[in-house]
Amino acid sequence: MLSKLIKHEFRATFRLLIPLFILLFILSIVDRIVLSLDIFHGVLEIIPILITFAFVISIATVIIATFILMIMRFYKNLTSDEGYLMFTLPVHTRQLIHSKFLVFFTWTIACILAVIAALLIALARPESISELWNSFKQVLKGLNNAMEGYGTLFIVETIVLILVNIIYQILAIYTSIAIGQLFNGHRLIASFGAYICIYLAMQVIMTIFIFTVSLVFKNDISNPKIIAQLLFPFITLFNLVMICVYYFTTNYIFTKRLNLE
Amino acid sequence: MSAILECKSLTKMYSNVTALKDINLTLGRGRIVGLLGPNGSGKTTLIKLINGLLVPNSGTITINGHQPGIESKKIVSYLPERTYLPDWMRVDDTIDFFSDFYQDFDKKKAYEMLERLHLNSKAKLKSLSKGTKEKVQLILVMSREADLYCLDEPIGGVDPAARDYILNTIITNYNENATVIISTHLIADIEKVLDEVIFIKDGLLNMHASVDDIRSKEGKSIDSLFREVFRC
Repeated sequence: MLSKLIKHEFRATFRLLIPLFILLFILSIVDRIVLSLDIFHGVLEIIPILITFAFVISIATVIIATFILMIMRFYKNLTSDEGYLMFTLPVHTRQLIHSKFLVFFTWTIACILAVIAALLIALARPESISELWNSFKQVLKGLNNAMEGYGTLFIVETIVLILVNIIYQILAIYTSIAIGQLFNGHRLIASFGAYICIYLAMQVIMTIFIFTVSLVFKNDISNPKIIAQLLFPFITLFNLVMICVYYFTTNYIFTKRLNLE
Repeated sequence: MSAILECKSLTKMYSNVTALKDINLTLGRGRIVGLLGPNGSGKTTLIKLINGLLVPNSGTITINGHQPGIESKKIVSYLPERTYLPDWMRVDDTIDFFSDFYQDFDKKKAYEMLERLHLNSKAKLKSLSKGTKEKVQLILVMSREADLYCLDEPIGGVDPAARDYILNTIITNYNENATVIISTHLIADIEKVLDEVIFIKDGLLNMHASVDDIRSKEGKSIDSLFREVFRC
């Protein structure tokens, strides 16, 4: 049943996101063509600038739109009238959450890859790949120097943290929506409110933690390697713990406290 | 054969308001049951409890021996009082959706009913009127070979001609072991198809009796009995 839910979830979101991605690629191709033409002189020099500006805006739009569309999809499909359809299917509530989450996560990764591809289409030259690789090696070298050999670990930790944080954000939003639907009116506003409360609470906890760490490790705190040794692993762990809390909260609310209008 | 629906001391409260209080109810198979009561009496709450959209505060509810969950959802076909199909879908998308998730869904039957009501299967739901959407939903729900049908206000939004077709669909499209619960306050329209009636008043079960008994004992129609019981 999970695979069927995923199939339908892709079907429902495909039609929303693919036009966005296509727009992104068209603009990146146009941008590349315009930048390669050497015909804009005088006042016309503004044209490549405008096209590039539109391209940059479209990148930002695609990222934001992907996120917002996926949030709205979750909200509408589970807590509005469509919830009557979804919650009476012969599936577990957790399978509904899993299918929505997996598709959201997949689209987020697809969105990141699409943006990278669009940038390459617009700007890449034949030597770009080797240039990128060289500058990556430079950065790695600099990091290794600064962090006493922890540079590679730091980069791996950063990538892991980004992925974990994407999961964290998605589930934090799901929890907010689940809390928001407990209210009998203004559910969207209640969901926003719940998200802000969760966000602030997490900020307070993180601030207390960093403050404690800086007290305990007073002597090492000036050494950047502590980021790779302690800070990033802890933040990742904290994110993972919160992911579990969000997941079980969302599942509990939708199973026991469903409140469709 | 065992009961299809059994409620024992079923109670549901919304914050401080009691929506259903101490309901004891057993429904057999092969019956068409009218769930009758004024607005806000608890009809929809009972139907939501049967479908697992709400969890009772106390008491139990079982469908064919199962508590509401996957097993019960496989055999209950539910028509909510809402238009619950996603707007962007076409009618045939919704048929695919139902046949994907419900093993007892009969595609052929669904297309036959669409044709009978002159509905275009390629039409987007967005382009349909509210009444037409309700017809599509009813077709989907009645195209399942379910054990229990829960129809919440199935005829409220459609014209009288379609009303007759729908009632006809309901009585001809379920097998003899299935039970149909119809919640409505348009009693006169459905009275002739009912085997049993349940009266709910202020969250309490007021009466559960067979229509024949009421007619012979009270000597009046369900409609006039309803007006008497729920006199304002």
